[in-house]
Amino acid sequence: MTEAAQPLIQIQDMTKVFYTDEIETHALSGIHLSVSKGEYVAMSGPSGCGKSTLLSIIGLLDTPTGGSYSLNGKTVENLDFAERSRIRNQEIGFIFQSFNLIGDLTVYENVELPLTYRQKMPAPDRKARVMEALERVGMAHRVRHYPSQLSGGQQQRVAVARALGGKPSILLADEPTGNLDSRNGEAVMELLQNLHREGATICMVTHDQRFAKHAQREVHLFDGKVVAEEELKKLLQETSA
Amino acid sequence: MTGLLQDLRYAMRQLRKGPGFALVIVLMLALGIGANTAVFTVLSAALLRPLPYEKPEELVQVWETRTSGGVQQMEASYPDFVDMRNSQVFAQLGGYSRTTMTLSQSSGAEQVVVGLATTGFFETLGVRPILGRTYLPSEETEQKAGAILLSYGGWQRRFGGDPTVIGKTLTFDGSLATVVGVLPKDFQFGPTNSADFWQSLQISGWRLRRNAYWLHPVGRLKAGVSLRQAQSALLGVARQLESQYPDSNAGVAVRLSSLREELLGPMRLIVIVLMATVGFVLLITCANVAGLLLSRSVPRQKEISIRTALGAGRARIARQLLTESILLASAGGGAGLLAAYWAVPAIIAAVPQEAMLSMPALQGLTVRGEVLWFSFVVSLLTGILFGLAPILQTFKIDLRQSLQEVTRSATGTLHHRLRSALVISEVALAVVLLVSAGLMLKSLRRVLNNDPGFNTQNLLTLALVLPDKAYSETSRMLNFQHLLLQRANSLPGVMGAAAVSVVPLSGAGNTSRFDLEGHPKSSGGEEYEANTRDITPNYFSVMGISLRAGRFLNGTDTEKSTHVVVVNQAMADLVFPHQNAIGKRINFTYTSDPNLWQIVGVVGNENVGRLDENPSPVIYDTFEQSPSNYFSLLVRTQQNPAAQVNAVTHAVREIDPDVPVYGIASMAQIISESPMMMLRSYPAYLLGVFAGLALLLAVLGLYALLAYSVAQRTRELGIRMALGAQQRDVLRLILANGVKLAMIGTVLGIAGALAAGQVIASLLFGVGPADVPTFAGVCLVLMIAVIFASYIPALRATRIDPMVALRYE
Repeated sequence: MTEAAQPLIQIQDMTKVFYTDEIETHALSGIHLSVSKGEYVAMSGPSGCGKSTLLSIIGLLDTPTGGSYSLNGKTVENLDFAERSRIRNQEIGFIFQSFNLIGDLTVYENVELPLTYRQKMPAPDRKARVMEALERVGMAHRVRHYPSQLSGGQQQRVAVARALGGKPSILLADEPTGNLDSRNGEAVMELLQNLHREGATICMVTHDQRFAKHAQREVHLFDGKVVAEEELKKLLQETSA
Repeated sequence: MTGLLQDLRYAMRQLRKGPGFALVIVLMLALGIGANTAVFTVLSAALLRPLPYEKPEELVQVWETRTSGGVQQMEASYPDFVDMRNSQVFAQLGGYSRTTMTLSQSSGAEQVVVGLATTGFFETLGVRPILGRTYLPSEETEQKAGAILLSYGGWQRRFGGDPTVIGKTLTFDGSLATVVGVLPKDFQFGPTNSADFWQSLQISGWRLRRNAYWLHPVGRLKAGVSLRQAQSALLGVARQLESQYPDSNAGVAVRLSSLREELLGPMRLIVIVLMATVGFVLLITCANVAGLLLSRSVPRQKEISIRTALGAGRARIARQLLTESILLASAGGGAGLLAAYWAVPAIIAAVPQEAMLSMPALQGLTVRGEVLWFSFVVSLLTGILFGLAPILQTFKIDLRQSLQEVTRSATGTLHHRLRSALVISEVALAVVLLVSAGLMLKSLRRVLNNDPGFNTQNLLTLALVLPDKAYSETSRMLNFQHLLLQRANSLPGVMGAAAVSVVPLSGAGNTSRFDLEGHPKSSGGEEYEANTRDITPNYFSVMGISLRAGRFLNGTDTEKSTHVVVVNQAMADLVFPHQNAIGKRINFTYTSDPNLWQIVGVVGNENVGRLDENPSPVIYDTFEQSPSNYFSLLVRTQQNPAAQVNAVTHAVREIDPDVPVYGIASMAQIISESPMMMLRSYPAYLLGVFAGLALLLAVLGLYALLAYSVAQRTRELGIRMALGAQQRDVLRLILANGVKLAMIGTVLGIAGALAAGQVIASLLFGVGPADVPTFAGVCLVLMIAVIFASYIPALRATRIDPMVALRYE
């Protein structure tokens, strides 16, 4: 297998069950998913289908109940907290729906934040990385601003810069346009597309078909399972009926 | 390092972001750390520093002991001291005592405290004079002018630091004494109350008696000799003396203890209690601050989640939060130090003057360098302690949920449990302190209410010494006394005046040993010991002591009549149980000749020792039959005794202006300023203040928790009200929550207080460590405070508008 074809993410028979009091909720049931390096995958489906849960597990924010998961060739489903933190910091860039910038930090400090968690990264290197990432998203002129002084679209571009700063293996975007108006939403999607063109691997959760179409490949989820597009339509029709 | 600086920068930004929040925390910490620093400053100066002598660990105090009689530990007799000095265990052995003397100067006579020391006393302590010399061996045994060593303070105050002071003569009690040296500035010796003068002991007369116990020997053990070995060797000496001098030394043994233990031992438990008290207050402060930080950690939950999502490990998050809490604690520590700078002089000012004299290390005390370290360490530990709760909480954050677009402010069970646990622990600690304070204060009240057997109200006391040369004849002494009593009795506002050799409860006094006529000690009869007091016949009427049997002493008891005594009930019960003591004769054994005195009366128990001890046996005789050139005047006044001071001292001056008057005090002052009262009242009041503070903090903690809980449960409470809950239901719900936590804390606190009661049991008087009324009272006070603290948030909860609450997020 060539490097380009080697799967960056390999998920086999993944399940996730939530236990609250006496209720078991099966959020994911036997998911198989493979994402190659440089690929741009959109995960879509109706609300509650498990797409955000899947993205959380891919991002090592959560652990699966069953199945296997390898990232960049390394089995990661049973890692301890510290190791998961390290991999998140070095391999994964997050873009959240609500931006999740820290209000008390400036734009510069927000982008720098994940780099400060890396061991022995000299300050000049960090600065170079931060400025490079901010320039890529067109926010270098706002380094001293606080998130509250920026528009929603600008905040999301800063969040993208933060995700890029660490030069991760994969960008995970959870409804990145969810809190934006259509113009800013389009701008962010265009930014992601440019990043993909430059070689970034992107995994995006969206329920908006307009934005899902920007991806190379679309994975449809329904009731915690991956389904084909045709099957999803049929299931949705049945549900609405 | 860069990361730490970033953490620090961010922590400071957090403080600036919520200045009010930070201020409240810093003030609370200032209170807790300040109290600890202040108390530690005082205690370390008074008790924790090594004694200021050369190799203080080698120094021991020697006591003679007796297995029978009321007094089982006593000073040493001089002949026994000399025999001990000749033993092989001491590198040096010196002795000291303390007295008051009349210092005659051109400006008039002055009564001063004088330390008395044997040759070798200062050498034993390793103290070298900065001018002149110490005592020569001949100055102890030969009768010539006494040798005086000046304390540094006395040298400065009285002689302006004159370097030519050596060789100057002073007149003490009418006899000349020569200044031979000046002691170093840092020399202090508590038992002599910072005397300005130290005179060489001249051994003659009664001081040579082997059964006169008056000298305090202090020894330096030879290198390699342990306390136990020295004790064993001295017991051998005591046994030898016992066989050699059975009359005086039968049943007399020796006990050694470290000098440090002797000087500071009685205070140790009080130190522990006070340090534990301020430690408890600090713990409560920590719990309160932790609760506040926990409440702030809820809105920060998302920030922590973002940091975690971006790769921050737990250690890094913990470091960030600890940096913030330690920064807060440092600010609190700094403010606490400032508070301590202010509090230390206030604490010192509350120490009675008499106690200050015996603790010179406290004079002019301020917060010093070593205490800064204490404060720094306490601040650091405090920061870690109260920072732990928020850190624990971050470990349980659900990253997936927390990073969702809408993060509920609901805080989960861990948060509630942590905060509830903190409040419970605060209440429990407060209960321990409140009960302990209650027990101590109740003991104090019991001591103050303890009947001393005489009327302590409106009683003026003053001491007089008739100069030896002018009053060498007994008749002159008695004339002076009669004349003075006559004048004092005729003063307007004076109800009666009497004289006594030693004022009761003054801490001074002496005991004498005796056997019974027909049962001499030499024939196997029992030897007893009792306090002895010389009095004027009207003493009992002035003091309000009742006659139980026989008669009072009166004017017919003169030098030439039968020697008679009156004894108190304790003495009659001890020596003549179930018998009539009247007519019995006792024989004082301090001389080998018969010295018989007939008992003519039994009076009620007068407590001459301490208010917190049971009355001990007392024997009273008259000045007519046992004249003395020193005595105290007791003046019963109609109103405030202070108003009669001028009139009484004027009466003394009118009779003889050369007679010094000193020790002027009302009986109320004598009681309140006695070392016993200081040891009882000082810790009791401090404990009371800190317990009150603890209660306030605990109640504030509960209030904060409930107020926060109500804010968090707005939606839930709105739903309840929408579903038909009445305001009283909501009120009851919140009140019940507060009372439940307080009750759990109270139960735990009661268990803790029972254990604490055992620790302080020896400090209690007339009250048990498990005193039910005290425990019940504390529970009642606490519950009232808890209901008050819970009522405010509960009332706020009843005012929630269901419509608004249901939109609340």
